Formats: sequence, C-alpha cells, structure tokens
Amino acid sequence: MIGLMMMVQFGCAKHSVKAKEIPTAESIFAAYQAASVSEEERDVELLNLHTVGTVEMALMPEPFLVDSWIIHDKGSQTILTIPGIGEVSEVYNLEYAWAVDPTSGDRLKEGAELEYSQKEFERTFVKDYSQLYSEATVLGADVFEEQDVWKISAKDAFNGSKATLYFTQEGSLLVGEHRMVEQGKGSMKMKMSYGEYQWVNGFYMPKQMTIKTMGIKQELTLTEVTVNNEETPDIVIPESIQAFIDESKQPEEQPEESGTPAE
Amino acid sequence: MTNVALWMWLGCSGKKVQMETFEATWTVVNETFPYEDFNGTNWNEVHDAYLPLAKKAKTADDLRPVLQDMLSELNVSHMAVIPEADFSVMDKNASNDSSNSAESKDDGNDESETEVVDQGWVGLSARWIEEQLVVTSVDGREDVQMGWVIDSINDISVASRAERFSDPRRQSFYMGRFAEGRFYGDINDTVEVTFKDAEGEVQERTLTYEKGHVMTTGTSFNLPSTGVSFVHQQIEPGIDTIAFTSFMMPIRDPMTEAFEQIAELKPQGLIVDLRGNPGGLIVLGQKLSGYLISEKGLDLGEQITRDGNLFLDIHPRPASLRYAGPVAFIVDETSASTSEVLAGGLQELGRIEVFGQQTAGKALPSGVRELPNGDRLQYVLSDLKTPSGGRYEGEGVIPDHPVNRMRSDYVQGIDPEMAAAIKWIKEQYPTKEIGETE
Repeated sequence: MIGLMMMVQFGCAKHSVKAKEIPTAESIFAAYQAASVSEEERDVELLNLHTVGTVEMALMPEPFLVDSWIIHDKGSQTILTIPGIGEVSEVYNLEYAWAVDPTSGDRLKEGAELEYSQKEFERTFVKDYSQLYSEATVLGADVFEEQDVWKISAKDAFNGSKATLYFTQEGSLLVGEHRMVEQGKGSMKMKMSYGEYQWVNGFYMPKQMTIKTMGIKQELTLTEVTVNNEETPDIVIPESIQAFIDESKQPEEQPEESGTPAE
Repeated sequence: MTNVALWMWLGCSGKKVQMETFEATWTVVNETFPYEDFNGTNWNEVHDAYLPLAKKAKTADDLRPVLQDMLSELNVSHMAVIPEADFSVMDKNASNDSSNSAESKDDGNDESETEVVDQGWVGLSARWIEEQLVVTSVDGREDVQMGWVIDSINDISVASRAERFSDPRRQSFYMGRFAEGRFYGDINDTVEVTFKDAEGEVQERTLTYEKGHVMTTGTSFNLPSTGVSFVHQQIEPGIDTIAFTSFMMPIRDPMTEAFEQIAELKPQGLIVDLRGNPGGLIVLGQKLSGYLISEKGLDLGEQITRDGNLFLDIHPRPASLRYAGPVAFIVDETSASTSEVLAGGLQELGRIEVFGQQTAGKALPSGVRELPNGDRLQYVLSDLKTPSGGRYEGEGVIPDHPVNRMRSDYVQGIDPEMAAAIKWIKEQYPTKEIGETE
C-alpha cells in the first residue's frame, strides 16, 4: 500500500484548460504531461527516484518513516520504520518481489503479487501519461476537496481496473485519484488525494498525499525527493527470502518439517 | 469573567464537544459500517432518536452510555466507546485514582503521561461453570486452589454481576472477562478476592499483580495498555503447548522463538491454548498459521468492506520452520476475535482439531480512532467470512471435541479441556511412545 503511494505520478499544469468548455481527456492528459517536467529536463530520462517522508495513520500513535527508491535498472524498495514494530520493507529486484516484515513474517511474493509489484514499478517510468489509462472519458466538471476539477473515468492500462481521476480546472493538477488496487486475491478501492505541489529537480510533484481505504486514512508528507541520483543502493536478497527462492526451485529437496508424522 | 459566567461558559463548551463527539461517532459508523443496510437498522432514525439524549450530555461520562446504546442498535461486536482515562498511563504511585488522569492532562504534567506502567498478573484464571465463577487455573501460588469459587472481587459481588445477564452465553462470556480483567493490573497493585474453598469455607485473599511472564503492550494501535503473556512449554514428554493471552505486539518475538524451538525439538504433538484470549492483531494470527500450513494460496477468511475485499492470506514459513505434526487448539467462551479467526480458519482447512467450548462469536475486524472529547471509538471496519464463506460473528467456533466442564474436576486439579487435548494427541501415535525419538 505504501509502495503504491510512493509511485505517484508527477503532475503539473502550465497549460490550463478553459473552464467553460469540457475538454477531452486526451487534452487534459497532454496538458498535465507537458507541464510535468521543466523545459530543461524534458528530454532527460528518469533513471531513479528517491523519496523520504513520514506517514501518519489513524491507528498509529506516532508517525512512521518512509524511505523509498525506484531505480530503473535495479528495481524498487520501500522501507518503513514503524515505532514499536520495526523495519518493514517491500522490495522488487526486477526478478523477485518480497516483503520483509517481522510481524507477519518475511515472504516471497508470487503470482499476482509479483505481477503487481512489477507493474507498479513499470508505471513509474512511463513518460506518456495517456499510456497509463485507456478508455478515458471526461465525465464533466466536479468539485474535489473544494477545488473545481474535471472528473475523468478511465481504465488502468496496467491492470484493467477502473479509475477516476480529478484534475483541477485551473492549473490541470492531478489532485485526486480513486482506483481499485489488487491485494493478493482481493481488491480494495483506494481514494488518493495529492496536494502541495512543488518543483523537484525539474519535476513538479505533490508533497502531500492522503490515502483512504477501509475507513482508515494515511497521510504521507514527503520531506526529501531527489531524482537521477548518481549513487543508488544495491537491492540484495536477504537470507530469509533466499530460503523461499531455494525452496521454490527445489521442491523435492525441501528440508523435513518438524513433527512430520511417521508413515 | 465572573464565576457564574465562567461556569456557564465551561458548561456550554463541554456540551459543544460532546455534541461534536456524538456527530463524529454517528458519522464514522455511517461512512464505514460494512453492511449497507446497517444490519436492518435505520441509521438516520437512530441518529434522530439519540440526538436529544446527547444534547443533555455535559461530560464524556454523560455521553458515553448514550453512544454505547446507539452503537448497540447495530447488534454487532467490536463497537465500543473506550474512556480517555484508559489511555492515560499515569504512574499509579503518583495517583491511584485513574479518574483523575484526564484532569491531570490539563495541568501540563505531561511527563507522567508518557510513563507506561508495567502490568502484572495474580496467577489465576476463572470461568463461569455450573452457575459459579470457578478458579480454573493457578500459576505460581499456593494460597489459592483450583476449583475454589469466587464470591467477590474488590467487593463486587459475583452473583449480582451475573444477574445482569439473562442469556447464558453472554453471561458465560462476560463473567469470564470480568474475572480475567481483574486478574491483570498495574504491577504491585493488589486485588481483594473472596473465595469459597472446596469445603465451602470462606477464604479471603489480597492478591498482588506480579510481573512473572507478563509483558506490557503500551498504548499501541490506539488501544489501552494491557498485560499479555506468552508461554511455550513441554507439558508432557513429546507434547508442547503454546498459550498466550492476546494477539498483541509483545507476543511476536516469543512466537517466533517458540516455533524455532519447536522446529528443533520436533515434538510429536502441539497444543495451542487460546482460552481467555480476546484477540488483537490479525496479522499475528496469520503469522502463526504460516507455521502450520504448507500449502500456498490458502487463507483464514475474507474481509469485506464497502471499499472491496481483502483475504487473510496464509503465507507458509520455510519448510525448516513449519510444524507438520498433530495440532490441537483449545478455546472457550472467552476466546474471541483473532482467536476465533485463527482457530476457526485452521479448523475449516482441516489442519487442527478444536477442543473446549463454543467461542464468543465476536469476530469482526475493527479500528479505533480518537473522538473530539478524548474518548476512543472502536468501530467495525469490515465483515468477515470463513474460508468456506461462513461467518465467525455470532456463532463463533464450534469445537470438534466439546468438553464438559465440572467444578469437581478442577477441585481435583484436573483441567478437563487440556486433558482431552493431550489424550487426542496421544491417540495420533497409538503405536509409538510419546517422546520417543526417531
């Protein structure tokens, strides 16, 4: 869930649309896309993104820290440092995806979960925003968190799920997004809102993000954002995860489980 | 400002925050309750019915019963208003009156509020058996015996407390919780208990909450600080038991260590004792199930909210850490929530056999959030289905092996539920001595 938050798309708006005419989804996407990156950075490929921030969550007495890397040729890792719980990480190394979690237990993500991690990673590097969605239709003018917006219905090109997007009429900023997120075998509607946009190394990004799902609200505040860093961390498979990988490769040589009843 | 004006101002501002609290409570439920028909209740009408009562409330103490009654209209578990005082972890050496804690907050005495008081236990458990509150286990003390009957705790009459409940199942649950709740407390505090012994003689004891193996949760996840214990032991040669009193964070590491030891010791049977366990973090239940299940893609159930569904996936641990031998779970009428999801889910999956009593049937996932007046609202986040699509809420878990409890057993020092589980474990190895190594 947190990993998802960190992979929010960049957004901006130098080319605002006329409020009295309902624009096409393509024109809104184009305006958003055109202004996402400054003139100087427009031809620069995104190689990596590093974000640091804090998350406040309704059930947690203290905010927790988030440190996330998305690296084009290595993968992604999001590390949460949660008071009273410890360090929890969600990692994808271009081949495997895993979670390190002292509470629920470390685990290798397989099947739909691995696919989800892969798609979320790939989503970050899509340059043309319109490629993220298909069947986009402007539903009309609306109000989202006291802002006049254009409401767009679309289908997520990566997983086929429905999404509703809210762009400000003045400024064409992406300020809201409702979409279904696949969670293992289930799926959950998430309502995200973005605010306090700021320029970061030529990219215009929201500093504040709010996610609401299952009646629980999370608020993410980014304190540090850098792109195309010269040095990036290596993504190393921990021993606990390697054990799962080995097991999945050699099922016939599994160690015996304790307490196996005698035949 | 005159004293009268100040008094009037305080009265008005008190009422205002109580009204805000009333509206906030109603709204949270309105926006999150998983059943769109509000369990057959017209939630708008409920608002209008309770509004006049809420308007009369000047303090949180006035409002709390109004909110509790309003929430009870929904007829589900896990709907409660928890007093702010329960979250104020004052050092009781400084103040023994917990009702003062909220006032002290305004004194700017913040240092004492951050001090978590270690919790202790008196070493007893008791259950409602044959219309009496019977001591069912005694740990580490010789001045109380199993099978004694409790007449009062801190001058609260057990009989008068029991009269509040007409439904036997509710009575059994709440009387068990009544005892359990008073047998844990701030370390070195005491509780006065009056017993009748096996001969019917009155025995009065002042019992001290002692540290023993009790860990303290702290006020995590917006829940009050409580004591929790986790005990892993070999009860007989070849049979290990794990008993823990809630699924809260302090049991996480002991659980990991216990299963590492089990993987090493390779007992021929395992008993998981969830009696008296009211639940907690479901993720810890999922973790435990991962030590017992080898098949991928299984779950303990499905959470269903207005926003979608979420399966309580079981993630099998590596084979070297999994336990594949026979497993018995013991539950009773005070086992609730995550205890029911874990025991019921593994039972449906055919991995365990369940012994004891029908569980509480209070199993809906919930969250806790702060209200404008400082109290906390516990509210249902989702419906919950078993792996086969049934429900834990209401019916609870029905044991495969129901055990008839009689006081006379406990007087003889016998725990009939544990005895039944041990007997079953031994039956799984009819041709081999328990404890015999390969």
